[in-house]
Amino acid sequence: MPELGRYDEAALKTPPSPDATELLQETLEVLLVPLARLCVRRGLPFSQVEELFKRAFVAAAREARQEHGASGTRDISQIAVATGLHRREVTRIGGAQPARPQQRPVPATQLVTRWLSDPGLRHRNGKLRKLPRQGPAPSFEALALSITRHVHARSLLDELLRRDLVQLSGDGETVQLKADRIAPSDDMAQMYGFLAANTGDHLAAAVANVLHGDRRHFEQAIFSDSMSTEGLQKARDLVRLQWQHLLQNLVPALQDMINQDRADGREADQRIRIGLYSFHEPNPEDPDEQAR
Amino acid sequence: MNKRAEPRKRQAWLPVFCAAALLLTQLPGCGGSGGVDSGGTGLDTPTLAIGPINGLGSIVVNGVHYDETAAGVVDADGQPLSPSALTLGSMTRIDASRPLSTGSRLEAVAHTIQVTAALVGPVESVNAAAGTATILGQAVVTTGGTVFDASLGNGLASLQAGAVVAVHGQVDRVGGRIVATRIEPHSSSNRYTVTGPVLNLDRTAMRLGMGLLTIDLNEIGSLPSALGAGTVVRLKLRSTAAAGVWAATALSLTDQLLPDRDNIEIEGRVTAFTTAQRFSVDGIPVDATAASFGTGTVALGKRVEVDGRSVAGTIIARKVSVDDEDGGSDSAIELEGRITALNLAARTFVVRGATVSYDDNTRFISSTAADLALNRKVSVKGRPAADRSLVQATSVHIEL
Repeated sequence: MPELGRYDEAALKTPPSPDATELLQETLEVLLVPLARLCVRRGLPFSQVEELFKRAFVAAAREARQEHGASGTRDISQIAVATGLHRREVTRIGGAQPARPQQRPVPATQLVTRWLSDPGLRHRNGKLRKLPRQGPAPSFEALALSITRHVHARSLLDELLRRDLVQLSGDGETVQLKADRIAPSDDMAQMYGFLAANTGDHLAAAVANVLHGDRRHFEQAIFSDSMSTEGLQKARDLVRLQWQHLLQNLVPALQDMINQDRADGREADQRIRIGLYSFHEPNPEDPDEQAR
Repeated sequence: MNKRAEPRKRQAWLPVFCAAALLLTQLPGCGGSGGVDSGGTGLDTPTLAIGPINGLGSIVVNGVHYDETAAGVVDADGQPLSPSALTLGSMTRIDASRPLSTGSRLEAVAHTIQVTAALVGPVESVNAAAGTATILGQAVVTTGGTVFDASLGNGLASLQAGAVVAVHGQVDRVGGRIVATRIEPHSSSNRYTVTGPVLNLDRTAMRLGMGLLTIDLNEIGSLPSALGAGTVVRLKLRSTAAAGVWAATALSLTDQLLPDRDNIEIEGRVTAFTTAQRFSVDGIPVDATAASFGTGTVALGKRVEVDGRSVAGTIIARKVSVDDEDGGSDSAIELEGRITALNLAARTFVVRGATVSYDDNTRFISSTAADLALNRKVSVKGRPAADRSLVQATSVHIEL
């Protein structure tokens, strides 16, 4: 099967073969449906999305040129050829970069993540420990200090109480994590933040794997179209269980690596995102069945 | 090279900025966090809700609005049902997402809705004045909150002896009866259903007594060890009795049907009582040692609402509320949808299959009765009307 060429100067002028174009278009059509759904439901008109697309195209073309050391006076015309945009549009958009806010670990949710994943913060039977508010580890104060020395434990506790993620004992001396309250927040900024960060990285991983020969990012899924409603419920329970395992195995392991890097003075100049997702919906109706 | 590694002189004020900007979301330019975080758009804390339907439009159970559009609707055996089985008063068990507060109400998305009648069988006798009936050997009582199918316009008085009906409701052990939330005709009746506490069990003769029935268990095979007098069970029966004995084809213990869930909400009757901290609701044991209590006192037979989590068949309660009055404010009905039939002379209209009656006492919000028209979207609040097959509207909002 013909493959879309990697970026090079020739690729700016030579369109991909018809088969590869068809494959790419089919793929894009699938990818665009949920994005269009989001825009329509949230009232973002096509003209604004079109402008975002133009900016993204120009940025991608410029990025590809820079990766190959290309620059200079032919920039505008080369980008116009690579993107199919008019030169005037490329000039107007100029060097504007699409927004790429980077999601960084933050203390409150880092603390919850650590509490959920650190075996030292669980009883032998696996139940989460209630932590004395102050004192040596295991305590809330020690946990907060292990996360950050820039935010006071009291501020972290207030934030977690505000978000109903922990509760204090009657005497105020013990803190309990409300594990059943840990769910995505109703805050739209946070929801959009994770939509962009999690899905963006997932999509970036798969795109990089398609573009590059080395399949550099881990990206695999399990899927079936033969589930009943009851089976689905059990599968969803299993996914949640796997997430618990993933948290409890990977978070302490990553933290150990970070601590070791720090101890060895290595530069922390890389980021990683590891995810688990599941999606379910009824099978689409067979068009042949519908016609009958 | 780390593009985020800023020149050293900026670093002195960075911790102060980070602390002030605090705790959440992105803090670009704050340097490596040195930690691991997690989060995403989806982490379902599954909720199990058990109770009668008090509203349609999204369906309302125990005061929570469940979006049922993508849910599978099944019967007690897991067989698919038409969404039209979701009717007012139907007893449901809903697997759903965690309810979230959206302004004035709690909303969740239903994944699976199991609709289960406590009783399917022939009517034996009716005492309409007392609001009671005997159906398949079981005492059934109706309350102000009981809903009747539209074909039973005269309520209990519409029930003919010998007619097979389905009764949705809660087992009231102290009264030895089923408190009906809904009664409807039942057509496919090659099997009857009966739910209730075992009165007596003879393991040698493989027989048990429930209500006025003697039930043969030989077709069940081995009996669960937990089965005994007082256990609340659900039985499928052949639809003809031999010499006064009914043959059971399936048996399940109601407390063993409960999966582990972090969130569970049940509205039902206290079927066993040791203390206010240890009791059972519709056969499901409740541990309320760490629960907060609303008004009212837990006692055998009382209708209660319990919020908590379930572990190994027991509900660990977070909150217990007791309803002192049957058919009280909790039988308020909410309907949302388009008007599919309208009878201006009779002052009734149909929404989601429920017939709504309005009168001069009905409050029309930002609209009047003259605005009622076919296909218009309405929100109705009401209660079962005197004959219980209609919803008496207390307020109506018409979308114009």
